[in-house]
Amino acid sequence: MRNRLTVLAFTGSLGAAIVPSGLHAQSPSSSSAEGQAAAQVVTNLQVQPLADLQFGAIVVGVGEGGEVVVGNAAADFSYRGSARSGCGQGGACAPHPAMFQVNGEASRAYRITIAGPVLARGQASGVALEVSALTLFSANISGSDGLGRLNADGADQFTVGGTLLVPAATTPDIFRADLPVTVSYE
Amino acid sequence: MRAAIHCCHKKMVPVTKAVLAIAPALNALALGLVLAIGWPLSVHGKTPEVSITADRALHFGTFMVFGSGSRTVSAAGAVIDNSIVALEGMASAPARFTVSYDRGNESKHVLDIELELVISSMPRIREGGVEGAVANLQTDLPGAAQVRPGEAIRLTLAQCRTRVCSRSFHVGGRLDVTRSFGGGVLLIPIPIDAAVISVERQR
Repeated sequence: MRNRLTVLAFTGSLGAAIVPSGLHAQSPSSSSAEGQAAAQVVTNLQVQPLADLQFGAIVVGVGEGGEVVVGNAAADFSYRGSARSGCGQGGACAPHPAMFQVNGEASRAYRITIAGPVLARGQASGVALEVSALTLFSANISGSDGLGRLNADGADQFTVGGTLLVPAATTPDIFRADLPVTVSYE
Repeated sequence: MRAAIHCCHKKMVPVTKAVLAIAPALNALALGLVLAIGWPLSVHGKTPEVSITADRALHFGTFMVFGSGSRTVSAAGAVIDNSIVALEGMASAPARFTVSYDRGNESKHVLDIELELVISSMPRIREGGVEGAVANLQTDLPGAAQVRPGEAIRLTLAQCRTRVCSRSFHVGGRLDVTRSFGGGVLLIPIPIDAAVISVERQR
């Protein structure tokens, strides 16, 4: 019995070795992978006005004009030439810079653009006077070159100051400027 | 009965003995024949196998969208935006995959390997107030400039002379995105399968 089994085993192995399997062989194997598509969608930038650029109540001389310069801080303003404040003490018509709130993607830089020309109008007279030497100041980066940066919460505030040239004999009035501000991610 | 068995057994024994005597020689002959032909034996190499790897993601970059928009990144890396504002950040680039065939041994026979690739459907992903989905798949494989999920792509690794032969290819597509609020990073899986159809040995 053992000899018979030995013969059968040998025959089987020899047969398997010499049976031709052709010039091509099937390899039924497969593989899988998982790629990925990625995109970073940034929170849209939003700007909200908090205060206008206010030059306040201004009085100038008949024979000489003057200037009102508003800086970027709350009480940072000055008068030149014959211009002086027409506000009473403690009045609410004192000059102050414009202020804006910006919200968007955390820690991202943005640029502030103001389309010119910027005009300040007298509330009573409607007289329009051009504002020059605009200054921009971002609270987060303490910079004044028109660039701002959102903080970790995606927020920032910036102020806008400027200089108003008031010609001689201009009717005393309270002057306020409209600012066409655009903010965009840098 | 006992005499008959004794008779047949005696006749069979000489034949069995003869076969058993030459069995080792025949076994050696069979082994030598196999080695001469160069037939792959599992005892001398690995099982042939195909593999596919994801080398680089399909990057759609960094952008802002008002409501809905789309960005297309082609297999060559060209970008087309629709209602999208491009921003600095993640650069856009097509995905790259590499498919390889390992014959499992060091033989020098020239092989032509035909493979089939299939990119499965990809889910729509939502991240906070942002939702996106990938469509319009493109590749730089011959005859597969535009492919649909589930569509078979045939790829031939021709004249393979080394143990492992590989081919890399790129995949692009269009990302359709809708933003309701906020922002976010969208990560969408791209499942891909590779299978061997045939392996032909050149004469």
